[in-house]
Amino acid sequence: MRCSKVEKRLAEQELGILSPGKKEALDAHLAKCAACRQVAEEFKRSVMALSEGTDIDPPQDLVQRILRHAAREPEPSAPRYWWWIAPALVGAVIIMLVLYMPAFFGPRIHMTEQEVLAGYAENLEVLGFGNTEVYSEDNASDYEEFGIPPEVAKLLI
Amino acid sequence: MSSIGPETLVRFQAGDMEAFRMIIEHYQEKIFRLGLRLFGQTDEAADFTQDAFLRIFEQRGRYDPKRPFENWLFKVVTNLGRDRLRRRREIPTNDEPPELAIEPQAEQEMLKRERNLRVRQALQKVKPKYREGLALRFGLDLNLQEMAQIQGISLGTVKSRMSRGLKAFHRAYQALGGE
Repeated sequence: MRCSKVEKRLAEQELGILSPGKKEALDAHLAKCAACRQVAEEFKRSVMALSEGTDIDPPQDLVQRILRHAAREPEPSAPRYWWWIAPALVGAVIIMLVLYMPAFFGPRIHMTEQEVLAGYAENLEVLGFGNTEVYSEDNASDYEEFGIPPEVAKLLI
Repeated sequence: MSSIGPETLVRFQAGDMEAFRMIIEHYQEKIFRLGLRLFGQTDEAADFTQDAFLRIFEQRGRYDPKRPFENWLFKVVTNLGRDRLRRRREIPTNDEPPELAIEPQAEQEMLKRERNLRVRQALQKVKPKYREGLALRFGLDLNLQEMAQIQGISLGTVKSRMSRGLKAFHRAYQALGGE
């Protein structure tokens, strides 16, 4: 075993993850290398210092400070599944806007009965039929020839 | 693993401040000492502890009572510590040990304080991802398996990081004078 591997093996030994074979090699190396024995001693002290509890206590008013802040906090955050519900709702609103945008900004779809009749009446005037009010039931087929649906034609009669 | 009873946890989840107080009192030292190891500074460790408990309180609805409370708590706290380490500029640890009269007992005390300060200074020289592992292992006394669960990494990664972290800490500690 090389000296450069010693610290790694010492760390693994400290963590309890050094295999028996490697431990044997480490012990054999330490037995014959004074410099690495010194490193092993220092390593042990480093780990002991790290393990030693700190002498500093939390501030005495810490609990009160936390409770004061917590009392001002809003309600707890929603359960985990909420993280995707909010974006899904936003997505749904965007899709609705895209689909129904023409309804808001395009030509009006909903017309009153009077408006429908007036629209056809204008066309009929252009075609020489004059005022729709003068037409009788017999003219129904004439309307249909000009593409006016029977349902609308009934209203014109 | 958890020493906070299930009734307390139920009350805590319902927003009972007395139950929350019990949880803070039970865990504040551990979290504060974790903060000291992660950040090195007393003030920052106290801020971290406060933020950690507020985060726990805020996220109490996400705790699954079927799972160990302590694992959940440490996971939330570890994630907070990691975020904080990412955001912060490394600040040198300069908490000076207070001057003490040199008497036999006081001398021992002073030596311990100096050693503790060197430990915190040395930890600040270790990469955050290794420091996090060292703080969990030596601050919260977690074993490697528990660390893997809390850090959300494989056991192999924990072993590798811990081995490198210990080596890095040892070198930094010795460079600061060791013991």
